[in-house]
Amino acid sequence: MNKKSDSFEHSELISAYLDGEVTEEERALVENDPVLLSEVEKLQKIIDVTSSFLPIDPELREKHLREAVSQFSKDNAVIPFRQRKSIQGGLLIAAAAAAIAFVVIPATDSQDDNSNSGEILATGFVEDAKTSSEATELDTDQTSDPEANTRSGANADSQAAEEAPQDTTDDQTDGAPPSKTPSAEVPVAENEEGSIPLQDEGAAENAENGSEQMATADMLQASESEQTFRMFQEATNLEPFLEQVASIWEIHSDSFASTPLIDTINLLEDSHPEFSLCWNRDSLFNNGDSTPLHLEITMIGGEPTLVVIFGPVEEGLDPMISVYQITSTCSLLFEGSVFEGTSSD
Amino acid sequence: MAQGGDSDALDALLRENYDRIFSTCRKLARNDADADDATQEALCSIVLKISSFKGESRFSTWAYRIATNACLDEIRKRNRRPRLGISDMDQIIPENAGQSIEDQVSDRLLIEGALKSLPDDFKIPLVLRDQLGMNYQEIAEVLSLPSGTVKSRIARGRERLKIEIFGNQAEGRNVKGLEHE
Repeated sequence: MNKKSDSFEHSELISAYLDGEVTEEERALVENDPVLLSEVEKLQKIIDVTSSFLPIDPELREKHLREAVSQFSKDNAVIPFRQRKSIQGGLLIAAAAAAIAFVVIPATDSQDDNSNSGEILATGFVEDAKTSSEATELDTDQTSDPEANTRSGANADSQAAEEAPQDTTDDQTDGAPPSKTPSAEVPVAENEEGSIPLQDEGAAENAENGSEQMATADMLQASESEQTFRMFQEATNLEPFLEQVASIWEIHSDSFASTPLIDTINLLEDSHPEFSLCWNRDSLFNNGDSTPLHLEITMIGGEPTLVVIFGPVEEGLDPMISVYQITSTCSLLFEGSVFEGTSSD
Repeated sequence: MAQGGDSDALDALLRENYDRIFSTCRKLARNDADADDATQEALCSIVLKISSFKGESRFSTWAYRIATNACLDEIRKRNRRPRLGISDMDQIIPENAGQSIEDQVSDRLLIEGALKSLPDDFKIPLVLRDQLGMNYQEIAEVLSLPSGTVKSRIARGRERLKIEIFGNQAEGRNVKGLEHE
């Protein structure tokens, strides 16, 4: 055994000894070795500090406690801190509106959007293979019933989406998400179910209409985005919005099961070089703490904006939505749990 | 009682565990602002999830776990944020770094500074161990790591701290109470 590995083993042994995580044999080994004991003493001095509490500002403590307990008092319906912090400014509203539109319309033709309303520029969606295969079994009756689609869960939604007109570019048809066009007949704000319509009931019927349908889809998209924006403006806080997002997440859960392919990320970076200016790719995609499941570029206020849905860090935690502007400011516009805003169980 | 809607009982529970939660978040975060938000997030998470506490473990154990996850979640999200703008690193470099150490920092500040400079891979398990008293297995569960990895990272983190602290002294920085013997 060389000196370096010896040293490492000693470090680990001493550290474990101080934590009480050694066997009796290891304990004896440390306690009978003066060199190791001197190392123990050094480390103990450090641990004395790292294990001590930091001085606390009493006012800050009271503020924190008051904030937490006050939420509990509201019929136990807790509004998480971040959500309350996020309720600010027009940018947030725009970002949230874009985020919800993005979830409702996971993918559209970026070229068309670019040349038209500029509402949504969708790239980077990686469809789950299972969803894709299931989609081939679509029953067209499902697509013609928007109410049923709204309620029918991930499979029906994905299947119906796959049936929609192929108005996407080639690269999107290969691994891209199902294209969904919004319903003009069931405005978001007027939906009795309180959920956003996920399917265009006329989409399948228009499959043969090519470019005419694409233009219609763009118009409908703009219409829905405006409606979503209006609905959000009318809301007094983020709760309704996040409830909508949460319900969509649940319905789409199958579609959010895989991480973006490297090609998708490359495409995203190629199409928006600013992306690399704002983000450390390694930390965003390979941080090991959370997994980006969905990437999307949207336009907010005429600026390209990245929407990311991160998978839960571990079972039981919520998926997160983050919306970043990717121009010179590189600002975080919105961030929150998909399920924030829903009442405590 | 807190689960039944008694806000006074909840306040007492949070108050009892506040110092430890705050210190943990403060040591994990890169600056005061992050620590402030992370602590608030941790407390709100406890309140949010208190109805799910089944009493199978001590409340403090359960609460620390919830708080740790909330705090780490907050910090991870902040780590993903854009790099532009005011650098967090600017705020953790000790001021007056060129001055004599005797005039600047106590032992505590030096160690805290060294702890902050540790990579998260080492710092997080180390703080969870030293600040919350979690054992290796508990840390492994919270961080979804093998127990052996936790053990190794804590040891390496401490080793780095030791080198940092005593190495600084070798460069002429006099650290009270930490002199080589």
